[in-house]
Amino acid sequence: MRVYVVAKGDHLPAIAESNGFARHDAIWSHPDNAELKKARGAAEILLPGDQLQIPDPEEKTVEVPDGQKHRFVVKSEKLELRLRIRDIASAPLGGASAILAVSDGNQDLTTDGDGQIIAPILRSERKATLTVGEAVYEIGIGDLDPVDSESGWQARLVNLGYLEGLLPSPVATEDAAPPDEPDPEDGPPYDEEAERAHELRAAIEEFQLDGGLGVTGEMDDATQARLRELHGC
Amino acid sequence: MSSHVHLDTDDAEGGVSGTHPAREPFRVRAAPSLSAGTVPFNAVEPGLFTVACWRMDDVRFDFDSSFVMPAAKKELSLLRQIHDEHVGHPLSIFGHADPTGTDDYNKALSGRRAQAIYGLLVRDTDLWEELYSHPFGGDQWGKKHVTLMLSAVPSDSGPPYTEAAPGPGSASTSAVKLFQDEHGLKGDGDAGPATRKELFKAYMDALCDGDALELDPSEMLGGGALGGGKGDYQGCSELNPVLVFSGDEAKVLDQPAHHAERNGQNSVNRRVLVFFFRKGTTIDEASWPCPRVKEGTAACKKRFWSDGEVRRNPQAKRRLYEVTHDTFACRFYDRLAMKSPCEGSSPLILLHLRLCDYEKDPVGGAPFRVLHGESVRSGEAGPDGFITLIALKRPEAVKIEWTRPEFADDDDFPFRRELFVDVGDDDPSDDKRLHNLGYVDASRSENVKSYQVDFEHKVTGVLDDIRVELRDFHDGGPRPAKT
Repeated sequence: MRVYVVAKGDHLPAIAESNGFARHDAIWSHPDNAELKKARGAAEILLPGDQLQIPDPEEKTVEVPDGQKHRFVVKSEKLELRLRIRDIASAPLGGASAILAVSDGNQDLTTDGDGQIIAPILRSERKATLTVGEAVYEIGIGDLDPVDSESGWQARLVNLGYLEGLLPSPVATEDAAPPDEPDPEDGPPYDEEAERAHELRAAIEEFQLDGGLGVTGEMDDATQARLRELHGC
Repeated sequence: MSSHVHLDTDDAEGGVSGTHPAREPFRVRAAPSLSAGTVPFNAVEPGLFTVACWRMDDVRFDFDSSFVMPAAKKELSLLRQIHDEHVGHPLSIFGHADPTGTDDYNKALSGRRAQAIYGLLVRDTDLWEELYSHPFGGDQWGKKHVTLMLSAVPSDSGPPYTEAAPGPGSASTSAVKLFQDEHGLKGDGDAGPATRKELFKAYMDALCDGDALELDPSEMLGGGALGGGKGDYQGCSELNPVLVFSGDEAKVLDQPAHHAERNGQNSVNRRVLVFFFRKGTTIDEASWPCPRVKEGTAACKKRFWSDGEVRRNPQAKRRLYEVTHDTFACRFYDRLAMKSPCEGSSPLILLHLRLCDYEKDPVGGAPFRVLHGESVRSGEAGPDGFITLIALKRPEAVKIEWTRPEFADDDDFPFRRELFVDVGDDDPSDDKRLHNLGYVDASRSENVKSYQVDFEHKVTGVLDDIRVELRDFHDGGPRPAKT
């Protein structure tokens, strides 16, 4: 047993494969990971920094007669990339031709009535490029964090068109000059942090309105649940 | 008519253009799906994001009007540049009004300015004809604007059909007739609908430097396809001010005596913006919340910030959008504008002048016109004779002509003066004061003597004897008593 710390862009099926497991369940359903499994829910969506207990590979002994050829088949689990493409008005883009470029080649696909494509991918796949008409989407597979993490709900707002890109917290630099003593009557300054809060709040409120929720600007549990529902995961 | 006029200053900008900060390319962060897993799908949906902008200020429209002034040519060349740099990026036009008046009234007014710009860019003269023939509130296109257009359109022989400021009494009939003759129209000297159609087109071309800036409706965000300008141009009413007075300021400025100051300061809120969107962005009726120019503000209010009313109304302190970013009520618009270098306010200069008659008594309601550079701006003084000039840059002097209200129809301005503005308080400043009051003799002592005669003071010709009184009167105080 050893500990594996989930890195950015990791996903469990790939971790299972690189550690020699045919199925992710060998890791995920191990009793030592029970707490994490309960916290995360979806095996496909982990948070960087999560600690996985990787069990030692089990030895399996098979007795076979001499002098014959033997075939051993390992049935690895299958992995897919499922995307639902919508237009700017949230209507599904049905019947559209799409090309998905992945590491083992290009797949020619057509979206179904829900605008969905389902593409088989390698268990170790980390990225893909989808071309639909003029639009080209770079896709990070395993990049989606849980919805209750800030990077996770922001990414869903990006995928749904509410946010232009992720807005990570500004990193405080130590050698930055100390800010001037603010006049308390001036209210909070519109600095990088305020700019970020402004943009995030606008995206959250727009989503809440479109999602039929009360418009509060707060990323609360109800908003996260609705976000997961409309984003699909 | 209004007691405000804008002063065109040739070397100042009445607008701005720019690009929005680049963001990371759209990247989908997805979860993979295991066959018995919990990831049914990942949604991929494009959003509405802006990449560039252009703004034209109030100063480039006639006051309280949707008529685009000839000086707008300069800002339109900025639009041409940014448009050339953003081929394939659809654009949309947003008009904004100031907070005076009702939301619905201002929605219509701001929509008319947006319509004027749209009509100009796509050369839709019918849209201008609609503005001309359907006046709304103070927005009335008329003879004055026909003259302005004729003064900006080159005739076949080269110079414009008329001067920017034709002399008093000279009707523009002959200029109209010449235009008609050169455009195969019936030469009756009357700018009727057929003549206006040709004149609008010629003026639009003059403003946009021929076809250097001529858009096809398909370049607009709504593609000209949704009817009524949906997605292509809209009025945001007074919902998104870039300047909100403090509560205390608002209380003072809302008093009738301070309306001139209020309307002047509010000039920054009256503006037209163009936003360019990401390449390939298309919208439909459902995905574009902004109502058409002819619709009310109900649909706008659905897109308000949860605290939208707080944002657009006065609070303890005066707020500027470029500083606080919290003055727009409409969240949808705020999202389009928040990264834009075009949503700000240019500092303005307000000049308050009092128009008097030969007796040095103020002429309430005096019809006046200001001649500055190429432009003529006209209006009527307030009841106390005061007028306000709004300028982007402080001029040294302005040429102004005025008359008594009862002679408004004479088309003649008996009172004329080149006025010094912002005279200062050094010794020579008092010569400027005397000049402004009509004492234009070359010698200081002669001017002082004439002043002393008029006000029945002891005639000494010594400036020091009248300096305090002169300054007080000139700088806005009451007419001095006769002694």
